[in-house]
Amino acid sequence: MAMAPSRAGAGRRQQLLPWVAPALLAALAGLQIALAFGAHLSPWKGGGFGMFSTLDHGGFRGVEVTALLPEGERRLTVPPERVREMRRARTLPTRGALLGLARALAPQRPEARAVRVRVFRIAFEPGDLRPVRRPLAEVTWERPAQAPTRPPGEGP
Amino acid sequence: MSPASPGARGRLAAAWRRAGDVDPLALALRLGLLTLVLDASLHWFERVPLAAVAAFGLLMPGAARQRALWAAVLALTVAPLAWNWPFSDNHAYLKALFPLAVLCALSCPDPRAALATSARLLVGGTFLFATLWKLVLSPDFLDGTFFRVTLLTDGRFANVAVLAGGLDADQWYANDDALHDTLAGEVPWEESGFVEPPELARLACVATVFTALVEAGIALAFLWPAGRGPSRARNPLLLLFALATYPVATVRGFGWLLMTLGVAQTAPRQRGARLAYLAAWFAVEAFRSVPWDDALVAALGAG
Repeated sequence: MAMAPSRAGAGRRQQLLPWVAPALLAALAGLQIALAFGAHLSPWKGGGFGMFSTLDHGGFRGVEVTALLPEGERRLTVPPERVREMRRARTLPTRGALLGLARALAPQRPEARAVRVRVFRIAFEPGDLRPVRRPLAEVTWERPAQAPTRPPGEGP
Repeated sequence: MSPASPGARGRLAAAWRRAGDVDPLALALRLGLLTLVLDASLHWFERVPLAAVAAFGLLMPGAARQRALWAAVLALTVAPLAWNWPFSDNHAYLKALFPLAVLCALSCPDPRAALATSARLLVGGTFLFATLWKLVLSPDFLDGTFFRVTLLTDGRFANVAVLAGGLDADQWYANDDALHDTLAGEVPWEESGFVEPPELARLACVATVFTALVEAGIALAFLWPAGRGPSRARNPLLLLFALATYPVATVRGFGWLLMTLGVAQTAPRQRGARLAYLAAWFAVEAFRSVPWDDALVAALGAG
């Protein structure tokens, strides 16, 4: 006797169910690889199983934030309450993450016309293991020009 | 009767043998829940609800086979991935995929066979992508740079570098300073005093080849059709990986999950393999908690 269509469909669904989690694992891993190569996501993060495969991890990545002042560049420090933003920029240095960190630290130097965020990694020469700094991402946040204030009492 | 008496020993041995006779599904569900209770997340609001739900599943008879429980566990393992994005380690994703696999399996007419399939593919997929990263995508694994630098700079590997890499502890710390000083621009690399003994380069080479072969072997064995060719080496390879990796890289949660998946994919007749996975599950904790490497360094006077 032929199986009713609804029962056949249910049977097929049940055959596919054991493949759902492995298929999701493969999809997540594919996305992680795309993000690692397209947006410098740390290979140790994101579900692609790149841990213990490369030295490109948080321990060998750095974030440098500088204020652009008339007299030159000055390094800004990352206070404890901004460490999460800094770690986000280090792990997945998207333009949005870097701009967010720049905006968050900008009040440290109100006189700065801009704040620059650079993310870099330390690579090692295969021969003598000499450490070399390699840039990953950089963003400069320009402080918006303030509207000129009108002297009191002046009408339009 | 004292615990060491022959009667008590006999009962303990019988209990251990019976553990191998437990249904693989039942054992995997319990081990999975125990892993979720013990492998705590960082934030209390992630840790407490998950531990409570997983403990409920462990303690209440029959609860471990309820889909509602696993749906709750799934939600509580997925939420931290979203909250912590992009900081979660790779095994946090596997921690969420396991309850999804269980939930799917419990919706099938033969949950044991369904979970065995999922577990086999999850282990195979995990090691397939780990191998892909190591052999193809990583810029610094195959040439040995990863293990050379890791042995010289990662504190988890310091005792291994001292025991088998020809360094003493003072040199290891001096290397750390040399690297720090060079990166700070205080000294040129040539004058930093950084030392890499030839034994350490050889050790890194062995670790690179061993890791690549074992991980590729696991991927092949777990993705190969069951009962044929390389699939017969599944259990020995995964257990070898656990016993070689977790004494050094103490990523307890990942080790526990892999051993749980190992149990889940065993056939009912593979009693010995199930007992070995169970023993390895406990060994993962012992490797992390017992300072065996510190004791060995002290005993050999290598520090």
